[in-house]
Amino acid sequence: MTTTKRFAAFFLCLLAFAAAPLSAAHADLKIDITRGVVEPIPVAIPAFFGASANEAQYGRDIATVVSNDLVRSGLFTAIDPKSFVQEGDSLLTAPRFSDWRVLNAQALVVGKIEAQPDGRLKVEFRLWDVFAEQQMTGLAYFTIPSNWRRVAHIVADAIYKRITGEEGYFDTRIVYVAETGPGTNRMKRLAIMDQDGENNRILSDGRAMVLTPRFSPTAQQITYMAYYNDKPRVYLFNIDSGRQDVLGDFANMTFAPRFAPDGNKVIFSLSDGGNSNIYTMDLRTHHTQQITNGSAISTAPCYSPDGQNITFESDRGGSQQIYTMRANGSDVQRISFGHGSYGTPVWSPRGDLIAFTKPSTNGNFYIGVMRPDGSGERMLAEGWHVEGPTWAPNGRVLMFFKDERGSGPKLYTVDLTGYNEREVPTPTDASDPAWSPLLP
Amino acid sequence: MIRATVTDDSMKNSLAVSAALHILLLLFLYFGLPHLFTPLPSHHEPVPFEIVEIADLTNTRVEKPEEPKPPAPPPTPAPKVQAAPAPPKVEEKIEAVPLPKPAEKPKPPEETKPKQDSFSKLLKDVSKLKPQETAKPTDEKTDAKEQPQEAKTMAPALSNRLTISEEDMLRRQISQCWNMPIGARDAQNLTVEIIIDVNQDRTVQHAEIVDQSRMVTDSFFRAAADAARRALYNPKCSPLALPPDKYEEWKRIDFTFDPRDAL
Repeated sequence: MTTTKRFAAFFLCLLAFAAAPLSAAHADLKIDITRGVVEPIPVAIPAFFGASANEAQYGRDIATVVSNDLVRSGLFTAIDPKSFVQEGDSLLTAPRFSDWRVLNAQALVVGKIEAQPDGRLKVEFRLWDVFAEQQMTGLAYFTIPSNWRRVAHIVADAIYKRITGEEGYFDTRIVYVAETGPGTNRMKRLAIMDQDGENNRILSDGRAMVLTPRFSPTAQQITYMAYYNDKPRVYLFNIDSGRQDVLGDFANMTFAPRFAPDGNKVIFSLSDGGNSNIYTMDLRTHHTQQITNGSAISTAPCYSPDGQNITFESDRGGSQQIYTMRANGSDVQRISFGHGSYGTPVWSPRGDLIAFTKPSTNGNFYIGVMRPDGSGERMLAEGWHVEGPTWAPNGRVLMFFKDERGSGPKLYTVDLTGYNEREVPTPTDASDPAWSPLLP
Repeated sequence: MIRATVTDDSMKNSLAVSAALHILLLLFLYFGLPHLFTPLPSHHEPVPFEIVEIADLTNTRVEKPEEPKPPAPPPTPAPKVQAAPAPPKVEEKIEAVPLPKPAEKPKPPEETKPKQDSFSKLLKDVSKLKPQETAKPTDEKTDAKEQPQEAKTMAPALSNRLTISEEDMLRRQISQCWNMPIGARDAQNLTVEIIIDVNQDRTVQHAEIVDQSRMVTDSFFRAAADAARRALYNPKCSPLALPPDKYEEWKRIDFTFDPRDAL
């Protein structure tokens, strides 16, 4: 290259450099969106494809369970399958997004069932963002055919997590007290079911009156209290193995204990005359430790999810209020300051809220939530008798029981936003629900 | 040979001087002569003229409330009861296997912003809101979909920039399509920035989420960013409510979805 050419090249580069700011000087239009809507996301869930009649039946059943799970959460609406414009094999290869957009589907779930040579089922699905025409997630599971319902819940959990960012809660179970018979001879038995009300089973015979079952946060294990011949006894029950141990006879205990977050310890209160204090017990050694020591009633204790703090109710200030303290009993703080009394605090598994019950001014009761510092108090549900809040493992949904003046107690769920209250179907009257962690 | 080198060197020197002087000249031509001792005259922004343009448009429009979506009816599976206490069965552990990803478009990144306490006002409190049963749009300004033609000013434009009314129209249109992440953990910290390229027919050509790194590490942010992007791609909000004659001004738009000030 001659010097002249080099100079010419340099000069051109210089010109280009000088001209660059002219085009870049154009500023983007900036728009802040600070308002929006709160409505469920429309999702299309066609039957999962199965080549054989048997596989196709599983495909229909699984898609239905997935759809029901998502809709029941209140965060999704299912698009009517009758309007679907594309089904079967062709969906697996290439969804026609423009057709799904016409139906206002924002998410599309496409799945397939394949029977394996070893007798198991392969269940796979892909979640599509219809507007962006992108796959959001895609997973496959292998399981025995009788487990199809669990796989459906697991698929629903994966979809829920990808779209909301939170862990799902569909692959979980509920233990509760199944109530039958007239008021004078009420039978209260321990029962368990999937969170959607399916697979209901009664776990105890009717000889003992069962109260306040509580789930371990780490295992498929519960504690509950049962009265045999008017004597209260606390049991530890492993749901998977069916093994049942007596934790002890506690004549002066009024609620079953709650587990510590690590599952190795339980916390409870024992009454002594007019007073009541809080204790813990190590489940391996049965060693008991007293946490509070006072001349007031301190009861209904519950750990924070990190195990560092405890919330409980107490009348030490003159009326029944909610308090928090360190796990060793120090630094006691009253956190409820609203009108009236507060009781049975339950710390959310995600740590940001404490649920409680509270009488309303019109003779009803509320289920409410507040932050652990006592701020942000809101009432989520109201009824003649509402009680026993228990959190879904993701801390997004509360279950409780509600009795509308003699109609018999029923189980309900409500989203922590206060919307989407729904009854959970049970074959009998039901009270005292306890939500399991996600199944292993 | 030596002479030739000397000539070459002197040639290079003069070329360098010439180039430097040319650059200087170009810079003077481009930026003007420097004002070293006298203060620059104050620069007047053309903002006041925009306010005049607003008079050509009206913010008052017929409100077409969105149909509230009824919550889907709860499924009513027929629960089975087993009369005898059945021993609970140990269920098989089910492992997830990730499926290979099909070829797809690259995802644009997003940016999130924190929310404040006022956000919690969106949440329901049955002790205060007796009659409200279903989730309602949080934006009272749930106008009907903006007709882009309305955005067109009839008077000759004094400046080509979008007027405040035109920006507001776009803002309100997108607000109707944005499903806010209420109820999520730390929802007030989920502010998302998305830059879009817009086709001349006012449809979104490409939407890019700015904060790509948080998309990978924060599942809550990723969910919020996807939701914000869905607002921009939503057919309900297409074409965008923009004045067709100002394409140069809106061919690239920087959106920030910030739920902090909701209500």
